Amino acid sequence: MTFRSLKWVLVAEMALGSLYVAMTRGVFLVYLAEKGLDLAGIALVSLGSGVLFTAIGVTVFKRPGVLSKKFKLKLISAHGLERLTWVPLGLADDVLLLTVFYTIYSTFQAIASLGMSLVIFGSFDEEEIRDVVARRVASGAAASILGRGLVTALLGFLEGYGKYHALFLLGSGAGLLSTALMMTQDLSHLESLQIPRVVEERGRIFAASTFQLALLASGALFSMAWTPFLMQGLGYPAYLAAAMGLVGTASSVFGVPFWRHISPKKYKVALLINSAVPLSVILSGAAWFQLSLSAISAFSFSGASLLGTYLFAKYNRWLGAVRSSALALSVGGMAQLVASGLGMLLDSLFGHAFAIAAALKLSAFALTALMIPEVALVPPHLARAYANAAYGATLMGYRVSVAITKETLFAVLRMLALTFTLLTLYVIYRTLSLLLLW
Amino acid sequence: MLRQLAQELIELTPRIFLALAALTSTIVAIKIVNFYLRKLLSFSKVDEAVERFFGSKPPLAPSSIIVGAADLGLGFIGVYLVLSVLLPRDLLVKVDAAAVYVARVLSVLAMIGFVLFTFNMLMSRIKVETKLKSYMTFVSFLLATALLIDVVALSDPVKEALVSGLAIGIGISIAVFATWWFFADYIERYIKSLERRQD
Repeated sequence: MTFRSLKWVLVAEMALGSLYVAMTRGVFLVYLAEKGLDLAGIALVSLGSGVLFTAIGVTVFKRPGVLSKKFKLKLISAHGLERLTWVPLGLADDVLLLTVFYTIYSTFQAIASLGMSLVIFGSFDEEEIRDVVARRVASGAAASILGRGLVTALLGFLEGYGKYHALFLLGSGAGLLSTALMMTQDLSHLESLQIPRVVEERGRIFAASTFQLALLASGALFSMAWTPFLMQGLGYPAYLAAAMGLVGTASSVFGVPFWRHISPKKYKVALLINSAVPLSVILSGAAWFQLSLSAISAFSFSGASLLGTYLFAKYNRWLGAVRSSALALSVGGMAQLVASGLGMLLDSLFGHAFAIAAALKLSAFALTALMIPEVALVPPHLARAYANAAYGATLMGYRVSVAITKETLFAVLRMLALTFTLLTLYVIYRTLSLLLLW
Repeated sequence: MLRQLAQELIELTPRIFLALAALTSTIVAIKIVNFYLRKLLSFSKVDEAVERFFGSKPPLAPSSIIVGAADLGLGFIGVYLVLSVLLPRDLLVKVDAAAVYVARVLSVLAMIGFVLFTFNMLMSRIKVETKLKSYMTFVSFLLATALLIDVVALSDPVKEALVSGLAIGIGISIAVFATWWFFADYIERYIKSLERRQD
């Protein structure tokens, strides 16, 4: 089944969405920092949205029915409300109120991104999914450059908190245009989608999810440590750090179409190049070197992430579109959690952060080389066997650790209950003795 | 006379009502504490834990003992409150003294119970010879007697003399027992060698 107009609407939606993200979420952390929230607070905000993404993803994975009924209504509502939440977010002054609104925003964002994944996974075949995702990434990156330019100009011209309110309102408006675009589409084919009763090839799905988790977590951790390293460690001015982001985005505009036309087997090369970047950062402090690295990093990362998309699109037939989208969302959430947790732990230990990011990327490479039959270096049957063995071992470890945790928790609660009982006895007899001695 | 009776009734009524209120609150408190303790104890699975530890079901379930002790304590509090409302001050002082004495007797009984229970448990769990069994019963009896002396109505010097005598007796008997327990073989061999030399 082909949906030509849907494909273009999805690409345009991404472009408008990126414009909206650049003007809202892109400046939100700066806004929070200006409001007085410290680094730990900011990391906690990001950690919280990671938890929400994972929780919503896991819920929908376990009960796919909750999303597939009245799908369009749910998608449009979440899509629109996510954008509208920026209006109160811009007006709220209290940090606590901001956190509440941000949590509401994150919930809508998780549902909307889940819905958008479902539109893609549920409407196209493997080849088209890769095509749509590649076009969306490219259009998103191009729009993001435009958005960043606009943000820089507005932040320069306006003063006080009013500039943020204006940006949030403007971004929200651009975002609502993308919602309107989605409203024009007929999504009836996604109503009550067939959901496979039994999930087949769990080992392969596990390997692909672990690969995606390692890749996304390493990407998030690396970008989390790189900019502060340049500014604090190498003394770069803010504009150079911003230029790094711009170069990276521009590089992915070209990177995605390039990798799109290359066989997925070669995506391993992109991953290998990407693994070398975190270790190369410390080789030279020269601006041209760091800017080149940014370009290489974004270019290779777009190839590596296309591998994830390719695998999820391929495994769609075993998981079903809803579960594929839910799994992608929860893996993304978990990656955010891992990166934020590590970021909080490592704080300003940039060398450690780069080493861990490189190790994660190399682990992702090892996974592709050994466990993912579609692109493995070993024969496919061996890769399948490795994937199944890893899945079995992890599942057993997970079950054992859950059982031990449960048992320990119950033992502690039982001891607490007994302590409360004995405390009650003590209170009774102490009261009695006080009454007698009084 | 009727007037005096009415006057006394008028004076007593608030106290009676207060005493009734104290009794009612005690009953309600017992009910609530009972419910809450039973829930906590059933969750903590203390009976199963004790059973697993001792290898058999104890004659009285520990959870019932705990709940019973709590009820008893609350009951005592209730009774004391009622008495403190109804009785005059000088009589209440005597009640206090009596209560302290009863508490001492109860604690002595509890201690005796504990000593006997522990010895009994030890004897049932360890394979003990008849001689050793009777020795342990003897020691537990001496210990119980020493505890009982604390609550009997004897003069203090007599109590002191009795307790010291018992303590010395228990100490010596334990020392003799330990010597026999650890060195019985050597002593036996030594006596036999002495006998052989005499022959």
